[in-house]
Amino acid sequence: MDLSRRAAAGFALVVLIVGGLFAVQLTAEEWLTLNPPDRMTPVIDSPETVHFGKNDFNYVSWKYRPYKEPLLIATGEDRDSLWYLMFVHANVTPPYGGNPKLGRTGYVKVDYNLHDLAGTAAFHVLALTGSSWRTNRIEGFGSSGLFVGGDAEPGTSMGPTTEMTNYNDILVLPAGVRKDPENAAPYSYYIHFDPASGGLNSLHVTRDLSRVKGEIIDTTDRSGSFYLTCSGGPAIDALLLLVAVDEMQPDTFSLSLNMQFIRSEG
Amino acid sequence: MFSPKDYFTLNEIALMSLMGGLVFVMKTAFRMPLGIPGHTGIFLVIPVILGVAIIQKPGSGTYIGLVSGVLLSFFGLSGMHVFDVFQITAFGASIDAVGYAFRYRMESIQVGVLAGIAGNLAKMVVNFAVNLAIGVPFVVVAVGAGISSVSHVLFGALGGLISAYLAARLIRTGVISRDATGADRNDS
Repeated sequence: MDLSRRAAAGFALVVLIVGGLFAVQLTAEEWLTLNPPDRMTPVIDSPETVHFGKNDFNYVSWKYRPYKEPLLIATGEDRDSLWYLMFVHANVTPPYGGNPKLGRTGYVKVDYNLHDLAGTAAFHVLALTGSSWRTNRIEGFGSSGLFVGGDAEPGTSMGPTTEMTNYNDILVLPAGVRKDPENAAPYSYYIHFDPASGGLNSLHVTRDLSRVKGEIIDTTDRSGSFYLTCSGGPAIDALLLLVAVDEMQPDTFSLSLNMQFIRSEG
Repeated sequence: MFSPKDYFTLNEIALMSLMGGLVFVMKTAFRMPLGIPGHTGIFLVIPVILGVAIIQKPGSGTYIGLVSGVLLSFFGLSGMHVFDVFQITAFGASIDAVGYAFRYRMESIQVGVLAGIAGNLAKMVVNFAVNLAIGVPFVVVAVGAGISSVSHVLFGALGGLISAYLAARLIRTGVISRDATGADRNDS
């Protein structure tokens, strides 16, 4: 076969390949049309209001929270403290900041109200994507988190707590739930951070939606609002809000959370 | 008797390594924020096609691609980091295959353009495969496949055109000696 005929065969092959790839693209676009993000679950746009007392803190940890390696709950003066933790399941559509054709873009607005808070309350976010979890960072670029200072007198007791000594590949029970380890699995979240991936750069706590990546917020406002945002990655399957306090709380302590998914333009 | 040690001469290995390094340098130096998939193909194919045109042995393009792929992986210039080695090796191997199929007539415009297209398309396909392997949803990869392939073909063709011109000029001035390497012996 001479050069010209070979070249013609080569160009014909290129046209076939490009045509095939266009067919794949059209098929993918058709699939997206038939499966719009609004049909994706979980879709829970109604608000959820939950109330907690001091006995709902069911974990205790010396300065760390879950991650593939123990992650600090707070920096600065609050760093070396014993913290009481609870994991609040946010039963709303999780935040999503990716391709609007693949998910419902939006954020979660959280209205909080702390009553008779002693010490500092820290708010962090954890999210499950597939089989691996993610959380917000409080050190380095893109740090975010909410820390609320209280002025109430510390209490003298808390409810029964489980001491956290491991921070990855663990079962955690939601706030206020206490089960024997052999019976805990059906009520738990299995928190696994993939050692080979990151998990610190896509979840954020912010009070300013123009700053999606948020910031470290130190405030004494015992009531207010903040937003949980997601700046990338696949859609989230489950969302937990980690609330931690570094003092025993008085009997009159209470925390109210009103959470709602707010849809944003893609 | 054929010996693997004698397949490439020292000069050829040096030239291929330099061409692989040139691919890396061009990728670093020519940063054009066009945002068009495959636009780097317009210059990345040139060292590989010229290397294949000069060496005229199967494996030369693959070697050049491997060297540049390793360099790009180690320096982590793109988001794919270590996976660049697969993309750029495939890039070189496909140009290698075109060179072999067309008897290293890289100075021909048709062959040069085809080589450029083949290299750029191969890079694109391997990039898709790597994305799928690391867990990117298929629909995300597929939804841009068609348009992306057109831009890859376009820029690969342009790069191949430039390479063919350069190869023709190098042959005319005697820098590449086709007679000495026996390129004419199998013309059909």
